[in-house]
Amino acid sequence: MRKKLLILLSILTILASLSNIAFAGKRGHVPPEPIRDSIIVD
Amino acid sequence: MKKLTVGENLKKIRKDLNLRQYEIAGKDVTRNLISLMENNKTPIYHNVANIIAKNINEILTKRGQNIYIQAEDILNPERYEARSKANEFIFQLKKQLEEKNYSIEVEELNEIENFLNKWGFIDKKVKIYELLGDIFYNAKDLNREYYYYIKALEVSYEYPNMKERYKLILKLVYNCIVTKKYEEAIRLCDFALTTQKDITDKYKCIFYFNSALAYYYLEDYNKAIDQLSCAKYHISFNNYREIKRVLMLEGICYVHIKNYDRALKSYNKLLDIVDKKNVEEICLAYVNLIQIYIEKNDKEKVLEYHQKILELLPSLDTSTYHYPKLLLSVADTFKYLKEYKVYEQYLKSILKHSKQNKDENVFLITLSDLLDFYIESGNLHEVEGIFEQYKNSIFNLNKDQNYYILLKFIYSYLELDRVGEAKLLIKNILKKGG
Repeated sequence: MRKKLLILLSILTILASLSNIAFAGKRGHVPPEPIRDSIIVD
Repeated sequence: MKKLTVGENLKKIRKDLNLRQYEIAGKDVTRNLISLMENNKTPIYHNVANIIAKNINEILTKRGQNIYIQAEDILNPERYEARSKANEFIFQLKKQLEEKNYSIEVEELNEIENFLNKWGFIDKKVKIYELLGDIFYNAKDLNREYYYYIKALEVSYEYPNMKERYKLILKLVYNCIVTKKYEEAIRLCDFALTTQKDITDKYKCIFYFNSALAYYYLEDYNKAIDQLSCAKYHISFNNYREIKRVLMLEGICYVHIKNYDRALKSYNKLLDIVDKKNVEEICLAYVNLIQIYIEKNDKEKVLEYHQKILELLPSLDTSTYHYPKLLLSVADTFKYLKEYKVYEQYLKSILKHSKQNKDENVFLITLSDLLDFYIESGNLHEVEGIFEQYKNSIFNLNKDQNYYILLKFIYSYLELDRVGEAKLLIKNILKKGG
């Protein structure tokens, strides 16, 4: 049972650690969305 | 329908585009020759067709019309006729966008691609690929959105005087930032800013802002601040959307380089112009402002703004772009305030929300945080429940092939009951990865 839990934990932690690599910037901050087009008519 | 001769076709093109004979003759051929050709009195050779196409395109560029006539369009009446079919595709795709119908069958896509490959109309290709990109953008199919915008951009280089190419580049920049291709986003911004002559000040500001955002994600905060200064140079006083985003990002960058006074200045300016009825905007400003006080360990101020956000949260639209990230930030503040039970509840609810909305990025961040929390607090039994609840999503995550090798090592250690080594290996992997 303990072994099963450890395997589970290892899979989960490795998978989840991928998200930390992908997540750039320090935590807590919420940067603005990129701008795709101008809403102002030229 | 009667098949047109090449001469009749030239006349049809000229009439369709509302041009006079002397206009398409330009300086290199005579109006008389055009007349003879239109009346089938003399053949049209390829070099002459090239000159006429060039003259036509110059006039269309001056008129601001995004139409590009090729010599083949003049010499092959069937080909010119096919341009109407291309217009039908364009009309159909625009209609789909207006009706918010973002589904396209593979057969339909193949038909369009085969048609475009057969005729190779440069202008129509650019337009149709861009429209397909727009449809996939709305369908949130980021890969195909990128694929069609890139195709549109590539083809547009064969179309020398294309107007407003920068708008297409901007769509690609947005896609690159959302899909974390930050270097490519920066390259595209630089390219647009240095090569696109018709780019307006408003768009210059937007490109500099997006470039700054990409630098921010690459953690090059000084470069991001430089780009924001350039954005400000091109900003006009009534571009509120741009001003707010510039100030927000500026504040965040200054916090990262620990210049809290400058950060506060940016956030205060932002709070002055923020739309008081826009709950998301206010929350966004507050969560970023809180980060200064967390960094300064000013608990009183953290609590003050945290309370304000909690009051606003129930009225926040849960479908907005920032909602999950806002919640994550609020959860982090609970962690900072050592309110671990609420922190856990928030993470669980974000996990659920991100799964429902197929937001894989937020799902992974939250899952990672939740696991860290259970590991740190020694609450390992909770892990099993989370795994059971989300096992389908977890197994469907994109996995790096190299990680399978590491998993095989861990599995072997566990089979040998060498738990200590297995744990050590996991710790080392996490240390290098995270």
